[in-house]
Amino acid sequence: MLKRDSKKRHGIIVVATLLLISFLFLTANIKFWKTPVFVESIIIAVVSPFQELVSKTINGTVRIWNNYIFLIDTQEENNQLKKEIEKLKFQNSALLEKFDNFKRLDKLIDFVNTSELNLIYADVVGFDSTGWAKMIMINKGLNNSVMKDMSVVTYNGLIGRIVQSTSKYSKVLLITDPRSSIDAVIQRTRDRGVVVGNNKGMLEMKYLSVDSDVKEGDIVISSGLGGIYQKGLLIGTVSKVYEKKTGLFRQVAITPSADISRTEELLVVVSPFDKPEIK
Amino acid sequence: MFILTMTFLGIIIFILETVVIEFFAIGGVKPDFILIIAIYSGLFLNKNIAAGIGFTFGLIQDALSFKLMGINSLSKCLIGFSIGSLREKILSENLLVQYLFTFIATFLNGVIFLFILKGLLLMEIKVLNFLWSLLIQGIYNSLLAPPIFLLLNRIKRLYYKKPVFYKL
Repeated sequence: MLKRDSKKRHGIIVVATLLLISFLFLTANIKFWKTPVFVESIIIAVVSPFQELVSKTINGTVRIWNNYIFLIDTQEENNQLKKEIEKLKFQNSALLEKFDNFKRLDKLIDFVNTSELNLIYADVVGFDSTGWAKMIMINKGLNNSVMKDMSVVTYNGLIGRIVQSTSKYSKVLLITDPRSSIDAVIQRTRDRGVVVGNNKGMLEMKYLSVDSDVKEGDIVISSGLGGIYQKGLLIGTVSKVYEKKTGLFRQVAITPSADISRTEELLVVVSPFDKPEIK
Repeated sequence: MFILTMTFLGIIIFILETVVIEFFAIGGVKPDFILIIAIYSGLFLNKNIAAGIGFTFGLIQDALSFKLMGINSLSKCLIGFSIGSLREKILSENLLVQYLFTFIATFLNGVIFLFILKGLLLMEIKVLNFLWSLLIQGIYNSLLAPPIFLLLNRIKRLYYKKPVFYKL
């Protein structure tokens, strides 16, 4: 009887300890906004190579199926053309933004340093394991000069930012995560707001002036403020404008321009962030 | 050998969770295999072992996410232990019990998540949307749980003759 009680007590102590450890991790998260990186680094180092292997195998199989078995040449050609169109769209958007800058600011301010972005190609090796956060793992890390707070794009728009890097892998917080916020402008009206994720694959723009003439179909780009995302990166298109007659701000729904849920390859912007200077 | 098998199985589960299962998401909602493992441990193993498995797998799950360290280890440890405590009073092999416990555990896991994200991390989450997602995940998990339990029980039986397993 005594032995059974002692065993029971021992079990409760073990469980209480485990719960306490979890609670301590959680407290560290909340209070200091930091996590014990060594635990994460070890787990990433063990699991991510397997993720990469499986991910590459699946992608390879899908590609073989799509490109060779399903539609031998047409699919490949179509993919190339689609990529070319997306690339041209991206370039067009950037050029339009530069053109607008020249027109609007003229001699009053100097234009933003438009040096070409230095991009690193990366593959997606895994997605968030919890399902409640929007995060992906890529196969580039500190060894490839990929560091925290670098922005991540595809040919057709912004994907997210690096939130943690280990030697070979990095975590990317997607713009659709509620914890992501981007200072953005409506390209046509120049109204500014903050774009946040809604965890359902869509975005919302908050703190947009109630007087804004925003319309469905308007393009939303990053403003360059905040020190993480470069100016002029395509975020998405306004898909719904919520009517509001009172209050200071209005809210709009935005469809991300990049197909975030189907992203396989992406680009990390490794060029240093240059803040625009007004002369 | 049993530990090796379990480690191998753990890696497969995490790969399923982070790579393959993304393709089977319904409206952005995907099944939580780690939770299913925690429920299985509670239903079929010792409650302390269930808590340990829930904690370990939850911790790995946290590490593969961003800024969620402690949430999954806490919820899965708690779920494993709670179900394990009820194990002797329920018919673990009953299909209805498995459906019910998986659904309730999914809901409990979601509520812990919601409480921490909204109450402590002060994240903006639309509660109705979250509960709707939880309902879908609950059904999804409940449907997947019995075949997974069956598979895990088969693996367990392979090692059943060894004395260490009589304790579980």
